Amino acid sequence: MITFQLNLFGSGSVYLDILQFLFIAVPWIVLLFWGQRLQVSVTLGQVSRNLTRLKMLRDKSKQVLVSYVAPKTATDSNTTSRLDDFLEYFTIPPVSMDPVGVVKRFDSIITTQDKRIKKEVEDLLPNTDRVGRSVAEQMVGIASALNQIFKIVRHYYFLGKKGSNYYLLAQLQMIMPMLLKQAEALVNAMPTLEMGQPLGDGIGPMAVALLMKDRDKVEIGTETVMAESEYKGRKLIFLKAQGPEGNVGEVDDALIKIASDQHKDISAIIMIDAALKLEGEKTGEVSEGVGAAIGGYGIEKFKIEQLAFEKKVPVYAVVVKESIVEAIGAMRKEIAESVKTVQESVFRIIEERVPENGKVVVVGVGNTLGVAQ
Amino acid sequence: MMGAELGSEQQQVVFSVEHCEVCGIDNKRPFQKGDFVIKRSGKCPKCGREMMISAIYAEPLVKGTQ
Repeated sequence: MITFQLNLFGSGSVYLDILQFLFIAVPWIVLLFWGQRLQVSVTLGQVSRNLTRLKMLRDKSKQVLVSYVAPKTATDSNTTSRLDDFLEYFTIPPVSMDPVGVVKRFDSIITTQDKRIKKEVEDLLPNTDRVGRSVAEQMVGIASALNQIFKIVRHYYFLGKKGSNYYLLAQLQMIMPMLLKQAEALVNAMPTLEMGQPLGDGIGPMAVALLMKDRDKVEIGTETVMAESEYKGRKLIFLKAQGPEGNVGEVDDALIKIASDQHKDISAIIMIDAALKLEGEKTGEVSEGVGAAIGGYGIEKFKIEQLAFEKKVPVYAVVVKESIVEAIGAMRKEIAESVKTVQESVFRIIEERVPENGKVVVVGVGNTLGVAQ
Repeated sequence: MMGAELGSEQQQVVFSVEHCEVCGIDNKRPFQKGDFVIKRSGKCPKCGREMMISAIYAEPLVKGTQ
Protein backbone atom coordinates (compact mmCIF):
# COMPACT_ATOMS: atom_id res chain seq x y z
CA MET A 1 0.00 0.00 0.00
CA ILE A 2 2.83 2.37 0.94
CA THR A 3 4.72 1.46 -2.21
CA PHE A 4 1.62 2.23 -4.25
CA GLN A 5 1.21 5.66 -2.63
CA LEU A 6 4.84 6.47 -3.11
CA ASN A 7 4.58 5.53 -6.73
CA LEU A 8 1.41 7.56 -7.18
CA PHE A 9 2.51 10.75 -5.51
CA GLY A 10 6.21 10.44 -5.88
CA SER A 11 8.81 10.99 -3.21
CA GLY A 12 8.49 14.38 -1.49
CA SER A 13 5.18 15.14 -3.21
CA VAL A 14 2.99 17.84 -1.65
CA TYR A 15 0.02 15.44 -1.75
CA LEU A 16 1.87 13.01 0.45
CA ASP A 17 2.65 15.76 2.92
CA ILE A 18 -1.02 16.77 3.03
CA LEU A 19 -2.07 13.16 3.50
CA GLN A 20 0.43 12.67 6.31
CA PHE A 21 -0.75 15.89 7.92
CA LEU A 22 -4.40 14.76 7.74
CA PHE A 23 -3.57 11.33 9.20
CA ILE A 24 -1.93 12.95 12.19
CA ALA A 25 -3.83 16.20 12.63
CA VAL A 26 -7.46 15.13 12.12
CA PRO A 27 -7.57 12.51 14.90
CA TRP A 28 -5.64 14.87 17.13
CA ILE A 29 -8.12 17.72 16.54
CA VAL A 30 -11.11 15.38 16.94
CA LEU A 31 -9.79 13.97 20.22
CA LEU A 32 -8.81 17.42 21.45
CA PHE A 33 -12.26 18.95 21.00
CA TRP A 34 -14.61 15.97 21.13
CA GLY A 35 -12.55 13.43 23.09
CA GLN A 36 -14.50 13.77 26.30
CA ARG A 37 -17.81 13.61 24.43
CA LEU A 38 -16.68 10.37 22.86
CA GLN A 39 -15.70 9.03 26.26
CA VAL A 40 -19.05 10.12 27.70
CA SER A 41 -20.87 8.40 24.87
CA VAL A 42 -18.93 5.14 25.34
CA THR A 43 -19.38 5.25 29.13
CA LEU A 44 -23.08 6.07 28.80
CA GLY A 45 -23.51 3.04 26.59
CA GLN A 46 -21.83 0.75 29.11
CA VAL A 47 -23.69 2.15 32.12
CA SER A 48 -26.96 2.00 30.20
CA ARG A 49 -26.44 -1.70 29.43
CA ASN A 50 -25.65 -2.40 33.10
CA LEU A 51 -28.65 -0.36 34.20
CA THR A 52 -30.89 -2.46 31.96
CA ARG A 53 -29.46 -5.58 33.59
CA LEU A 54 -30.06 -4.09 37.04
CA LYS A 55 -33.67 -3.30 36.08
CA MET A 56 -34.11 -6.87 34.91
CA LEU A 57 -32.84 -8.16 38.27
CA ARG A 58 -35.11 -5.75 40.16
CA ASP A 59 -38.13 -6.91 38.13
CA LYS A 60 -37.18 -10.55 38.63
CA SER A 61 -37.00 -10.09 42.41
CA LYS A 62 -40.47 -8.47 42.36
CA GLN A 63 -41.79 -11.29 40.23
CA VAL A 64 -40.42 -13.96 42.62
CA LEU A 65 -41.87 -12.06 45.59
CA VAL A 66 -45.31 -11.78 44.00
CA SER A 67 -45.33 -15.42 42.93
CA TYR A 68 -44.43 -16.44 46.52
CA VAL A 69 -46.95 -14.17 48.25
CA ALA A 70 -49.92 -14.14 45.83
CA PRO A 71 -51.03 -17.79 46.21
CA LYS A 72 -50.90 -17.49 50.01
CA THR A 73 -52.56 -14.14 50.47
CA ALA A 74 -56.17 -13.58 51.49
CA THR A 75 -56.55 -10.43 49.39
CA ASP A 76 -54.97 -11.55 46.13
CA SER A 77 -56.76 -8.92 44.00
CA ASN A 78 -54.41 -6.08 44.95
CA THR A 79 -51.35 -8.01 46.13
CA THR A 80 -49.07 -6.65 43.40
CA SER A 81 -49.98 -3.00 44.06
CA ARG A 82 -49.65 -3.53 47.83
CA LEU A 83 -46.23 -5.07 47.33
CA ASP A 84 -45.25 -2.22 44.99
CA ASP A 85 -46.16 0.27 47.73
CA PHE A 86 -44.26 -1.87 50.18
CA LEU A 87 -41.07 -1.65 48.13
CA GLU A 88 -41.23 2.15 48.20
CA TYR A 89 -41.17 2.35 52.01
CA PHE A 90 -38.30 4.37 53.34
CA THR A 91 -36.64 4.92 56.70
CA ILE A 92 -35.35 8.32 57.74
CA PRO A 93 -32.25 7.97 59.91
CA PRO A 94 -32.06 10.15 63.04
CA VAL A 95 -30.30 13.50 63.00
CA SER A 96 -26.69 13.22 64.16
CA MET A 97 -25.72 16.89 64.52
CA ASP A 98 -26.03 16.31 68.26
CA PRO A 99 -24.84 12.71 68.52
CA VAL A 100 -25.92 12.26 72.16
CA GLY A 101 -28.42 9.42 72.29
CA VAL A 102 -28.35 8.86 68.53
CA VAL A 103 -28.12 5.06 68.94
CA LYS A 104 -31.27 4.92 71.08
CA ARG A 105 -33.16 7.04 68.56
CA PHE A 106 -31.84 4.92 65.69
CA ASP A 107 -32.87 1.79 67.60
CA SER A 108 -36.39 3.15 68.03
CA ILE A 109 -36.68 3.96 64.30
CA ILE A 110 -35.38 0.54 63.22
CA THR A 111 -37.71 -1.22 65.69
CA THR A 112 -40.65 0.71 64.20
CA GLN A 113 -39.51 -0.25 60.69
CA ASP A 114 -39.20 -3.95 61.60
CA LYS A 115 -42.58 -3.99 63.33
CA ARG A 116 -44.22 -2.34 60.34
CA ILE A 117 -42.77 -4.88 57.89
CA LYS A 118 -43.83 -7.76 60.14
CA LYS A 119 -47.35 -6.37 60.51
CA GLU A 120 -47.73 -5.77 56.77
CA VAL A 121 -46.56 -9.31 55.98
CA GLU A 122 -48.85 -10.70 58.69
CA ASP A 123 -51.81 -8.86 57.14
CA LEU A 124 -50.89 -10.15 53.69
CA LEU A 125 -50.32 -13.73 54.85
CA PRO A 126 -52.66 -14.32 57.79
CA ASN A 127 -52.82 -18.09 57.31
CA THR A 128 -49.12 -18.70 56.72
CA ASP A 129 -46.86 -20.16 59.42
CA ARG A 130 -43.95 -18.29 61.05
CA VAL A 131 -41.35 -19.77 58.70
CA GLY A 132 -43.38 -18.79 55.63
CA ARG A 133 -43.89 -15.26 56.92
CA SER A 134 -40.23 -14.81 57.80
CA VAL A 135 -39.32 -15.92 54.26
CA ALA A 136 -41.72 -13.31 52.85
CA GLU A 137 -40.15 -10.64 55.10
CA GLN A 138 -36.68 -11.54 53.83
CA MET A 139 -37.90 -11.48 50.23
CA VAL A 140 -39.44 -8.06 50.75
CA GLY A 141 -36.06 -6.93 52.11
CA ILE A 142 -34.26 -8.20 48.99
CA ALA A 143 -36.79 -6.76 46.51
CA SER A 144 -36.75 -3.46 48.38
CA ALA A 145 -32.93 -3.33 48.39
CA LEU A 146 -32.79 -4.03 44.64
CA ASN A 147 -35.45 -1.40 43.99
CA GLN A 148 -33.40 1.17 45.92
CA ILE A 149 -30.12 0.22 44.19
CA PHE A 150 -31.77 0.48 40.77
CA LYS A 151 -33.35 3.85 41.51
CA ILE A 152 -30.15 5.37 42.88
CA VAL A 153 -28.05 4.14 39.95
CA ARG A 154 -30.68 5.40 37.49
CA HIS A 155 -30.66 8.78 39.24
CA TYR A 156 -26.90 9.21 38.79
CA TYR A 157 -27.07 7.86 35.23
CA PHE A 158 -29.59 10.53 34.23
CA LEU A 159 -27.67 13.19 36.16
CA GLY A 160 -24.47 12.26 34.31
CA LYS A 161 -26.27 12.09 30.96
CA LYS A 162 -27.98 15.45 31.41
CA GLY A 163 -24.80 17.31 32.21
CA SER A 164 -22.51 15.11 30.06
CA ASN A 165 -20.60 14.67 33.31
CA TYR A 166 -17.91 12.15 32.45
CA TYR A 167 -16.51 11.95 35.98
CA LEU A 168 -19.88 11.03 37.45
CA LEU A 169 -20.46 8.42 34.76
CA ALA A 170 -16.93 7.04 35.14
CA GLN A 171 -17.54 6.46 38.86
CA LEU A 172 -20.80 4.68 38.04
CA GLN A 173 -19.04 2.61 35.40
CA MET A 174 -16.41 1.57 37.93
CA ILE A 175 -18.83 0.42 40.64
CA MET A 176 -21.40 -1.17 38.32
CA PRO A 177 -19.74 -4.62 38.05
CA MET A 178 -19.62 -4.89 41.84
CA LEU A 179 -23.21 -3.68 42.23
CA LEU A 180 -24.40 -6.11 39.57
CA LYS A 181 -22.61 -8.97 41.23
CA GLN A 182 -24.28 -8.19 44.56
CA ALA A 183 -27.65 -7.69 42.88
CA GLU A 184 -27.32 -11.07 41.17
CA ALA A 185 -26.39 -12.69 44.48
CA LEU A 186 -29.50 -11.16 46.09
CA VAL A 187 -31.77 -12.48 43.34
CA ASN A 188 -30.09 -15.89 43.45
CA ALA A 189 -30.72 -15.99 47.23
CA MET A 190 -34.49 -15.80 46.76
CA PRO A 191 -35.00 -19.49 45.84
CA THR A 192 -32.75 -20.39 48.80
CA LEU A 193 -35.05 -18.39 51.08
CA GLU A 194 -38.14 -19.94 49.53
CA MET A 195 -36.80 -23.43 50.22
CA GLY A 196 -35.84 -22.48 53.78
CA GLN A 197 -32.20 -23.48 53.32
CA PRO A 198 -29.53 -22.11 55.69
CA LEU A 199 -27.62 -19.09 54.41
CA GLY A 200 -23.88 -18.54 54.65
CA ASP A 201 -24.64 -15.93 57.32
CA GLY A 202 -26.24 -18.66 59.43
CA ILE A 203 -22.97 -20.26 60.55
CA GLY A 204 -23.10 -18.56 64.00
CA PRO A 205 -26.61 -19.79 64.86
CA MET A 206 -25.75 -23.22 63.40
CA ALA A 207 -22.66 -23.63 65.60
CA VAL A 208 -24.64 -22.64 68.70
CA ALA A 209 -27.71 -24.70 67.71
CA LEU A 210 -25.62 -27.88 67.64
CA LEU A 211 -24.32 -27.07 71.13
CA MET A 212 -27.73 -26.32 72.66
CA LYS A 213 -29.81 -28.98 70.88
CA ASP A 214 -30.27 -31.35 73.84
CA ARG A 215 -30.89 -28.62 76.42
CA ASP A 216 -34.10 -26.98 77.58
CA LYS A 217 -34.72 -23.85 75.57
CA VAL A 218 -36.32 -20.65 76.85
CA GLU A 219 -37.56 -17.74 74.74
CA ILE A 220 -35.60 -14.90 76.32
CA GLY A 221 -36.59 -12.04 74.00
CA THR A 222 -38.18 -11.28 70.66
CA GLU A 223 -37.45 -14.28 68.43
CA THR A 224 -34.44 -15.18 70.57
CA VAL A 225 -33.81 -18.36 72.57
CA MET A 226 -31.35 -19.35 75.28
CA ALA A 227 -30.25 -22.60 76.90
CA GLU A 228 -27.92 -23.43 79.76
CA SER A 229 -25.22 -26.06 79.95
CA GLU A 230 -21.96 -26.83 81.76
CA TYR A 231 -18.41 -27.42 80.61
CA LYS A 232 -15.47 -28.28 82.84
CA GLY A 233 -16.88 -26.45 85.86
CA ARG A 234 -18.05 -23.39 83.90
CA LYS A 235 -21.66 -22.46 83.27
CA LEU A 236 -22.46 -21.92 79.61
CA ILE A 237 -25.38 -19.82 78.42
CA PHE A 238 -26.16 -20.26 74.74
CA LEU A 239 -28.03 -17.59 72.83
CA LYS A 240 -29.32 -17.48 69.26
CA ALA A 241 -32.22 -16.30 67.12
CA GLN A 242 -35.20 -18.60 67.09
CA GLY A 243 -35.22 -20.91 64.10
CA PRO A 244 -35.82 -22.44 61.68
CA GLU A 245 -37.54 -19.26 60.52
CA GLY A 246 -35.39 -16.62 58.89
CA ASN A 247 -34.58 -13.96 61.42
CA VAL A 248 -31.63 -12.61 63.37
CA GLY A 249 -33.46 -12.23 66.68
CA GLU A 250 -32.57 -9.58 69.22
CA VAL A 251 -29.48 -11.11 70.77
CA ASP A 252 -28.27 -7.74 72.06
CA ASP A 253 -31.38 -7.14 74.17
CA ALA A 254 -31.41 -10.79 75.27
CA LEU A 255 -27.77 -10.48 76.36
CA ILE A 256 -28.56 -7.34 78.36
CA LYS A 257 -31.51 -9.13 79.97
CA ILE A 258 -29.38 -12.14 80.91
CA ALA A 259 -26.57 -10.00 82.32
CA SER A 260 -28.88 -7.78 84.36
CA ASP A 261 -31.33 -10.39 85.49
CA GLN A 262 -30.52 -14.09 85.92
CA HIS A 263 -26.75 -14.04 85.44
CA LYS A 264 -25.35 -10.75 86.73
CA ASP A 265 -21.95 -12.33 87.31
CA ILE A 266 -20.99 -13.37 83.76
CA SER A 267 -17.25 -13.71 83.21
CA ALA A 268 -17.09 -13.49 79.41
CA ILE A 269 -19.07 -13.19 76.22
CA ILE A 270 -18.12 -15.19 73.12
CA MET A 271 -19.69 -14.18 69.83
CA ILE A 272 -19.72 -16.42 66.75
CA ASP A 273 -20.49 -14.78 63.43
CA ALA A 274 -19.74 -14.82 59.72
CA ALA A 275 -17.21 -12.16 58.71
CA LEU A 276 -16.47 -10.68 55.32
CA LYS A 277 -13.26 -12.17 53.99
CA LEU A 278 -10.61 -10.15 52.26
CA GLU A 279 -9.75 -11.12 48.70
CA GLY A 280 -7.22 -13.95 48.90
CA GLU A 281 -8.60 -15.36 52.15
CA LYS A 282 -10.18 -18.81 52.07
CA THR A 283 -13.91 -19.32 52.47
CA GLY A 284 -14.68 -21.12 55.73
CA GLU A 285 -11.44 -20.03 57.43
CA VAL A 286 -11.95 -19.59 61.18
CA SER A 287 -10.37 -16.65 63.01
CA GLU A 288 -10.37 -15.57 66.61
CA GLY A 289 -10.31 -12.06 67.98
CA VAL A 290 -11.77 -9.70 70.52
CA GLY A 291 -14.74 -7.35 70.26
CA ALA A 292 -18.41 -7.61 69.45
CA ALA A 293 -18.79 -9.66 66.28
CA ILE A 294 -22.15 -8.48 65.00
CA GLY A 295 -23.14 -6.58 61.86
CA GLY A 296 -26.16 -4.46 61.06
CA TYR A 297 -26.40 -0.71 61.57
CA GLY A 298 -24.19 -0.81 64.66
CA ILE A 299 -27.00 -0.53 67.21
CA GLU A 300 -26.57 -4.08 68.53
CA LYS A 301 -22.79 -3.72 68.53
CA PHE A 302 -23.05 -0.50 70.51
CA LYS A 303 -25.35 -2.07 73.11
CA ILE A 304 -23.10 -5.11 73.58
CA GLU A 305 -19.96 -2.97 73.82
CA GLN A 306 -21.71 -0.75 76.38
CA LEU A 307 -22.75 -3.78 78.42
CA ALA A 308 -19.26 -5.28 78.30
CA PHE A 309 -17.72 -1.95 79.32
CA GLU A 310 -20.11 -1.41 82.23
CA LYS A 311 -19.77 -4.98 83.50
CA LYS A 312 -16.04 -5.10 82.73
CA VAL A 313 -16.57 -8.34 80.85
CA PRO A 314 -14.27 -9.34 77.96
CA VAL A 315 -15.89 -10.00 74.60
CA TYR A 316 -14.24 -12.64 72.40
CA ALA A 317 -15.08 -13.23 68.75
CA VAL A 318 -14.86 -16.34 66.61
CA VAL A 319 -15.60 -15.61 62.96
CA VAL A 320 -15.93 -17.66 59.78
CA LYS A 321 -14.64 -15.91 56.67
CA GLU A 322 -16.87 -15.64 53.63
CA SER A 323 -17.67 -13.19 50.85
CA ILE A 324 -20.83 -11.09 50.76
CA VAL A 325 -22.15 -13.27 47.92
CA GLU A 326 -21.56 -16.41 50.01
CA ALA A 327 -23.15 -14.81 53.08
CA ILE A 328 -26.46 -14.11 51.36
CA GLY A 329 -26.57 -17.34 49.36
CA ALA A 330 -27.09 -20.98 50.37
CA MET A 331 -24.47 -22.07 52.91
CA ARG A 332 -21.47 -23.59 51.14
CA LYS A 333 -19.85 -26.84 52.20
CA GLU A 334 -16.62 -25.14 53.33
CA ILE A 335 -18.64 -22.88 55.64
CA ALA A 336 -20.79 -25.70 57.06
CA GLU A 337 -17.70 -27.80 57.71
CA SER A 338 -16.10 -25.02 59.74
CA VAL A 339 -18.58 -25.70 62.59
CA LYS A 340 -16.26 -28.19 64.28
CA THR A 341 -13.32 -25.77 64.22
CA VAL A 342 -15.55 -22.99 65.56
CA GLN A 343 -16.71 -25.16 68.45
CA GLU A 344 -13.11 -26.19 69.25
CA SER A 345 -12.10 -22.51 69.32
CA VAL A 346 -15.02 -21.66 71.62
CA PHE A 347 -14.14 -24.42 74.10
CA ARG A 348 -10.47 -23.49 74.03
CA ILE A 349 -11.32 -19.85 74.80
CA ILE A 350 -13.56 -21.03 77.65
CA GLU A 351 -10.81 -23.20 79.12
CA GLU A 352 -8.13 -20.52 78.77
CA ARG A 353 -10.07 -17.34 79.57
CA VAL A 354 -13.00 -18.26 81.79
CA PRO A 355 -12.20 -19.19 85.40
CA GLU A 356 -13.69 -22.32 86.94
CA ASN A 357 -17.18 -21.65 88.32
CA GLY A 358 -17.36 -18.73 85.91
CA LYS A 359 -20.23 -18.05 83.54
CA VAL A 360 -19.90 -17.43 79.83
CA VAL A 361 -22.50 -16.42 77.27
CA VAL A 362 -21.96 -17.94 73.80
CA VAL A 363 -23.89 -16.00 71.18
CA GLY A 364 -24.59 -17.30 67.67
CA VAL A 365 -25.02 -14.21 65.52
CA GLY A 366 -26.70 -14.25 62.12
CA ASN A 367 -29.74 -15.31 60.17
CA THR A 368 -31.03 -18.61 61.48
CA LEU A 369 -33.09 -19.64 58.46
CA GLY A 370 -33.12 -23.44 58.19
CA VAL A 371 -31.46 -23.84 61.57
CA ALA A 372 -33.59 -24.78 64.60
CA GLN A 373 -32.25 -25.23 68.15
CA MET B 1 -12.79 -7.28 33.54
CA MET B 2 -14.88 -7.88 36.63
CA GLY B 3 -17.92 -7.75 34.39
CA ALA B 4 -16.69 -10.90 32.70
CA GLU B 5 -17.52 -12.82 35.85
CA LEU B 6 -21.14 -11.75 35.80
CA GLY B 7 -23.56 -14.59 35.28
CA SER B 8 -20.77 -17.12 35.59
CA GLU B 9 -21.93 -18.34 39.03
CA GLN B 10 -21.81 -22.11 39.07
CA GLN B 11 -25.05 -23.98 39.54
CA GLN B 12 -25.34 -25.52 42.97
CA VAL B 13 -27.03 -28.50 44.48
CA VAL B 14 -28.04 -28.50 48.16
CA PHE B 15 -27.58 -31.52 50.43
CA SER B 16 -28.81 -32.42 53.91
CA VAL B 17 -26.45 -34.45 56.09
CA GLU B 18 -28.19 -36.89 58.46
CA HIS B 19 -26.04 -37.87 61.43
CA CYS B 20 -26.49 -40.77 63.85
CA GLU B 21 -25.47 -39.60 67.30
CA VAL B 22 -24.94 -43.19 68.50
CA CYS B 23 -22.92 -44.70 65.62
CA GLY B 24 -21.50 -41.45 64.24
CA ILE B 25 -22.62 -42.39 60.72
CA ASP B 26 -23.33 -39.58 58.25
CA ASN B 27 -25.79 -39.95 55.41
CA LYS B 28 -25.68 -37.26 52.75
CA ARG B 29 -28.82 -36.90 50.64
CA PRO B 30 -30.39 -34.18 48.46
CA PHE B 31 -32.17 -31.45 50.41
CA GLN B 32 -35.95 -31.78 50.71
CA LYS B 33 -38.26 -28.88 51.42
CA GLY B 34 -38.97 -28.79 55.16
CA ASP B 35 -35.47 -29.95 56.14
CA PHE B 36 -33.67 -27.90 58.77
CA VAL B 37 -30.61 -28.35 60.96
CA ILE B 38 -31.44 -30.31 64.19
CA LYS B 39 -34.53 -31.88 62.56
CA ARG B 40 -34.98 -35.60 63.32
CA SER B 41 -34.92 -37.33 59.96
CA GLY B 42 -34.37 -40.87 58.67
CA LYS B 43 -33.23 -44.09 60.37
CA CYS B 44 -29.62 -45.05 60.94
CA PRO B 45 -28.71 -47.92 58.54
CA LYS B 46 -26.56 -49.48 61.29
CA CYS B 47 -28.51 -49.16 64.57
CA GLY B 48 -31.96 -48.18 63.27
CA ARG B 49 -32.21 -45.14 65.55
CA GLU B 50 -33.56 -41.83 64.35
CA MET B 51 -30.90 -39.61 62.80
CA MET B 52 -30.57 -35.82 63.02
CA ILE B 53 -29.81 -33.34 60.25
CA SER B 54 -26.46 -31.93 61.32
CA ALA B 55 -25.75 -29.76 58.28
CA ILE B 56 -27.33 -28.42 55.13
CA TYR B 57 -24.99 -27.07 52.49
CA ALA B 58 -24.61 -26.31 48.81
CA GLU B 59 -22.00 -27.82 46.53
CA PRO B 60 -21.23 -26.85 42.93
CA LEU B 61 -23.08 -29.01 40.44
CA VAL B 62 -20.52 -31.10 38.57
CA LYS B 63 -21.78 -32.31 35.19
CA GLY B 64 -22.16 -36.06 34.93
CA THR B 65 -21.91 -36.76 38.66
CA GLN B 66 -25.30 -35.45 39.84
